[in-house]
Amino acid sequence: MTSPGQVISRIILLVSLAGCGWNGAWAAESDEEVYLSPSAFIAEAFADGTPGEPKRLWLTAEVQAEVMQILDHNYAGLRLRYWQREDRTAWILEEIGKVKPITTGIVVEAGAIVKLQVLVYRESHGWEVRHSFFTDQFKGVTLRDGTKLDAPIDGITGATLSVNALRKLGRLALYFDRRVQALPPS
Amino acid sequence: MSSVPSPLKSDRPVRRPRWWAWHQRLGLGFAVVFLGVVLTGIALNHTEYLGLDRKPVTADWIYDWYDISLDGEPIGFSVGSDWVVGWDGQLLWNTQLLGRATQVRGAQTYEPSMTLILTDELWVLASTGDLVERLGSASLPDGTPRRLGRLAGDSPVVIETTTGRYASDGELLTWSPLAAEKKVVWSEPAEVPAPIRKPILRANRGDGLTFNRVILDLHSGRFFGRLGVWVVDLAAVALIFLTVSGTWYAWRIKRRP
Repeated sequence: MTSPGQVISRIILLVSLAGCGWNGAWAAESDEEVYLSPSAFIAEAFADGTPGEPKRLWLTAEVQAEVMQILDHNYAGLRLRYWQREDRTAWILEEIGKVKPITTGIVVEAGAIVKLQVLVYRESHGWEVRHSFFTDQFKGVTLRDGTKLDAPIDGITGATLSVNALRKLGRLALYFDRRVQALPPS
Repeated sequence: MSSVPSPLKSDRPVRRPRWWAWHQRLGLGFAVVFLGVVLTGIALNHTEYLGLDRKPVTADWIYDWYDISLDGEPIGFSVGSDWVVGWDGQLLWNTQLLGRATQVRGAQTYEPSMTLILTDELWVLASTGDLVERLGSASLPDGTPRRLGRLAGDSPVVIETTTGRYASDGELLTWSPLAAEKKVVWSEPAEVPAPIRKPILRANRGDGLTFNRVILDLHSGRFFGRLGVWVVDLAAVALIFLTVSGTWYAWRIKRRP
């Protein structure tokens, strides 16, 4: 049986949601959809299925300044793992669509996106971005004028925030790739 | 001072109707509700002046009454002088929120001044609690993580997953299956001390409840649940009755010959 306190708290929650436009970041839980595990994506990213040891990109102040231009915020953490073989790199990146992070796998080769795939989707809306009719638009896209995509990515009605998040991640992966390709071979 | 009888009115007392007793009963019966509604109404009329919408309630019993709390019990791991806490889907470094994690499976020191936390991922924190990196499934051994530990008398980090036990290299880049005879010291949960637990609870209650909210609920009766709303509704009906009956009675006295 529902206690008076629970009834009151539900009323408060409803009023808060309706009146204050609360983003409900953690309260409006929706199920996490795992379309492909990050480990499986990384394995698929390289022809023989053995990506080898990951490498680490240090997110220095200089790197974070560029990241800020792309994401409008810093990327969490001081370093980031990636996998590389010759001029092919694979990245697992996250960006918030509306309130929850979208985990995305991106493969870059010779400065162009080879594959972009949504791996884990946690938002309640906008999941259409996982479909290949959308993600295939990123194939062959490179950077121009600094950190802009050189080709338009068409949006999806009702999934604007998720589309924007994936556009940003595409730019980010290309920027990170350019960054690590410029590093001296270890 | 003696009263002077009015020349217009008779000294004969006015005969009160039979229902007049209800006027008194309802007035006395709902007096406390009337006072509560009136006083809270005056306070609500001056919300901005009194700053009621800005002042958070701090009394724990009110939050308990509203059932605003974290679900379940915290799971804590002592790491040196710090604590890693998992509570209701939140991952915290002492009282600082790190992010979301369904379950904290272990935490321990790593290298001289860093901390490792095992959830579905492996979090690497600096001594300040700042995130260094998060290692997802692509950087961890196969299977779902279960426990975090280290080799007895040695430094390599060990993770037990649903597929077995794995030891890392010094930089957490590669993981190798661990021989069964190797003894591992596992990270074990401990009871979260009150100086950590209470601030977390208070931070989650935060400023989610203001005086304005509580006074508004007192005013409407919602503070006492569904029954409270009905009592206030009945008091409102009673007030209509008292107003009409009192006005009628006063009018009748005045009209006396």
